[in-house]
Amino acid sequence: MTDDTQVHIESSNLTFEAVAARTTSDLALRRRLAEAHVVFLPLGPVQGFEGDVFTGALADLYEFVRTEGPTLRVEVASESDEPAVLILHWEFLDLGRFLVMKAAAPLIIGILANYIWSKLGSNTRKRRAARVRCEITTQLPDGSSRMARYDGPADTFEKTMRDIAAQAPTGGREDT
Amino acid sequence: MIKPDPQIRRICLEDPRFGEARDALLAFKSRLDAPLSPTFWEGLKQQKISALASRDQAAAKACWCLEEVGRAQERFVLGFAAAKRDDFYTFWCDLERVETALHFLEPHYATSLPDFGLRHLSLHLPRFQELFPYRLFFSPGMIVKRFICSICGQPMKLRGGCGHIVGDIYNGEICGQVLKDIQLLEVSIVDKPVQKYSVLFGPDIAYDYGPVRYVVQGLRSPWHEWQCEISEIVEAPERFPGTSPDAGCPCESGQHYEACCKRKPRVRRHYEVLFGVYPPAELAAGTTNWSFIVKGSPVAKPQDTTGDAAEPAAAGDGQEQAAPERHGRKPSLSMDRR
Repeated sequence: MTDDTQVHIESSNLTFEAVAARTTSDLALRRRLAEAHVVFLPLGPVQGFEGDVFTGALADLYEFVRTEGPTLRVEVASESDEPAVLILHWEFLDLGRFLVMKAAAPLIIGILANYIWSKLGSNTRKRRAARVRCEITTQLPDGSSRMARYDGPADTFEKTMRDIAAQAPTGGREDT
Repeated sequence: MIKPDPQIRRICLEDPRFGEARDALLAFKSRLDAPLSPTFWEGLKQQKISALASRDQAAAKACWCLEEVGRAQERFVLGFAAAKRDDFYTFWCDLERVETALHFLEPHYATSLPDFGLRHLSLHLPRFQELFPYRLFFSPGMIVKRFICSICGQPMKLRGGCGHIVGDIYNGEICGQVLKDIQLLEVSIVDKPVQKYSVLFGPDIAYDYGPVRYVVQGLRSPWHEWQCEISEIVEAPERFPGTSPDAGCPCESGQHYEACCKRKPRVRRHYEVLFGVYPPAELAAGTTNWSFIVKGSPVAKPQDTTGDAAEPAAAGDGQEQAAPERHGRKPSLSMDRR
């Protein structure tokens, strides 16, 4: 990890059930959210806008995760098929916020790392300079959750997040 | 994930239908300051119409690739010509257009290949950008509530959308998101903008174009190789290192060290430019504002990136010569800037 990397880890009370209940009253969508392996979460409150806002990479990344992880159940915590997204014209990759189950975390981190490299292309200088922002909350087998927020160079994202994931208690959700 | 298709490259490089366009693009080294001819663009347009009429999506995609290569080459050459006239902002904007064209092209036609000078562009684009003094840019932040597909005009939805993939090519056109229903949140000043056109200009901002001017004037052709090593040299270190800022100044002035002799270390940026071809004599003769020395460079010999290693770089005015090697090293020009 380099000096300009910011990693924040804390316990969380976010769970798939809670996200499902908060997002929708549609029972079918609620069930899909509760049974998902990974859920895209809205960003925090955005000043000047009321309602949920997602990262600008949402549509692209959603498609990417579904293609790269065909066995994963991927959902977005939004009732709308056209959720509002935040576009900041600043050259860093804001991957957004995710809730993942413990067993799927390594796969998701690998897919996100592949996404980063697919976006940065073959320009090595760009790769070295690129920054990534991402927040992954992992639901542990005992029902508790742990949130890890990463803000740092693209090239250390995967290793840092894998190390964090490896430190969490092992095991998976019972329904996997 | 979209990946380059070897078939598209084969069509671009070998298909007789694209002979004229291909020849124009392959002759990139001879185009130093002129755009591609209107017949190039018209020819490709007709080929695309013909390909679509025969439902040949691969040929239509090859047309798009050749158009994009043409755009990248043209903006690079015209921007370089503008820089020769000291119009550096135009060059900066054209470099951004080249970067955009390469970004769109890369998933379909590997820009690391030497074909059509693409590798030269990929390597030298960031080198030129690094010489520019621009560090801060305006950048809008916005909420977008709707996206429309540029191919079919349908709303882009997460679940059950139109099926077109952003960045892929359909009917010889690239699929993009058209932003609708936008709420502007802010305009920020950032150091890494997505688009680099919005440079901060103002009456109190003076930019030093010395390094980019130096390299541009030293190149006889935009297609000549060059590279630059930039380092920082501490010119004037702190006078009494280790002294506390609040302590009395060791020079016995009676003032605190901070208010007296403590000063920030003065740093100058050192540029060592390695030209693949000897620069014009006036640059080497020191008639510019730059001091320089010609010496054996510790910088590695630049690789040929134009895909034509055996051939010397294109003649700009017929007077140039490839820089001779001295003890296995090429001469370089070195300059300092405070």
